[in-house]
Amino acid sequence: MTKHDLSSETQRFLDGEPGAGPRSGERDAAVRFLDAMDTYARGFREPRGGLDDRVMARLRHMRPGRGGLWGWLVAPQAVRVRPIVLALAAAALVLVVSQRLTVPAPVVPGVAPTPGMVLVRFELLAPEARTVALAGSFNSWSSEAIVLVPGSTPGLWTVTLPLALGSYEYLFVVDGQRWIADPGAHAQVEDGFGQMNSVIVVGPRGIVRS
Amino acid sequence: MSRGVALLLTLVLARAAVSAAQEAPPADARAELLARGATPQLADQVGRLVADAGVEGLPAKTLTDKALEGLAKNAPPERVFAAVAGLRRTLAAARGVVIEAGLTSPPGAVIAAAEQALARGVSPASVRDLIRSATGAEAVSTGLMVAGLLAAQGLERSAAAQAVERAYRDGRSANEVLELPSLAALMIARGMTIPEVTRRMLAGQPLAVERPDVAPVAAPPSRGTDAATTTGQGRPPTTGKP
Repeated sequence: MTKHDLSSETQRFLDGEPGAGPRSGERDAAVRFLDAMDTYARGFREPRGGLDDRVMARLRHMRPGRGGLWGWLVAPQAVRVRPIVLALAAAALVLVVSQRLTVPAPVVPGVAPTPGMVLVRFELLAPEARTVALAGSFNSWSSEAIVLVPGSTPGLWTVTLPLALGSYEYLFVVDGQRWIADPGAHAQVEDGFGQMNSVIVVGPRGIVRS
Repeated sequence: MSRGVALLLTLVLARAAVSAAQEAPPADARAELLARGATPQLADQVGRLVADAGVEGLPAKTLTDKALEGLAKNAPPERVFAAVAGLRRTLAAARGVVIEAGLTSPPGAVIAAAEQALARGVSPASVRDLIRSATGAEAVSTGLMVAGLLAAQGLERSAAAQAVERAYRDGRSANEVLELPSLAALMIARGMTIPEVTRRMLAGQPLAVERPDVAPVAAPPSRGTDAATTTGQGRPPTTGKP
């Protein structure tokens, strides 16, 4: 039975017209219609929180899509952590990171000499060179970090470094390719790669020019 | 999943992470080598070798620097590793000599200096004698390093060590001993023969040699193409003199 199968009086009653009433004999049918409409409308009147709760309750009882261990690992999980545990973990992380980031004092600081260091000048006569650099144990053999500059004498390249007292092996690097020993060094020693390194010992009064 | 399984899983993963960390080479050495162009395989090999050396009490940085030197010189990876491995062996041998001399837990600087002295021809017996004659780790490492360099300058090997011992016996400080190679170079530049330099060193006389900052003696360097001239004297270079 549909609404249109009822009499016009009962239809007006169902439409909510003031003063209208169901025809006798159709009262029960009219009440069933009203109950059905009320049930239908209740779904729209339900508070939103209730819907969410029902949905979440349903999800909690659902198995993860992929199932098993992997499903548990990738599914969102509620984690309860005590603040003290979180704080300790954060402190440990900070400690580890800070230790990783701690840079040991270099054997040869970049520019400024400090107490206990001596300024040492290196020179190379290389008139044909386009670039001259200095690489050695004082800069972890970086062939680009210490660049010599042309001096007042034509062809003479120089650089002055602050060095701590001690022994250093080194070579000049000409045009980024040729490694050249310093005959003015204290000695030449084998480098373990089939070549020779120059060696100096820096004392409190610097290096004696030989 | 029960909490027990989750806990067990966590423990297994943590154990695996710890094991991996223990087996992996030191991040610093490996990263440094990779940053300087080493292949991952070489970085791993050298990194592990450096880590093992550190455990043995050897100066790890000396080994890392040797690898960096090889990379800078574009040596093949196998050559770099061979050089580092060889240096590790000689460092281990030097550590043994140092321990025989009575330093039961030698610092890395002492081991490295002993290795230099031995590599430059100073005998193990001379190294032991020199260690016993010096007081303190700084004096020992300086003495060994200077003895090695004097030998590299041409002095007779045993005389090189004896010259350092003599200086310490005369009450010289480690800083004064550091002057010996410069003074030997100065005497040679003044025309003294190696035997004469050796004699003066053993007699404890070299420290009376005039310094060039008082009386320059070096001839101007030759002006040949790409001829390295010299290492200048420092502190400070404002004198206008090398």
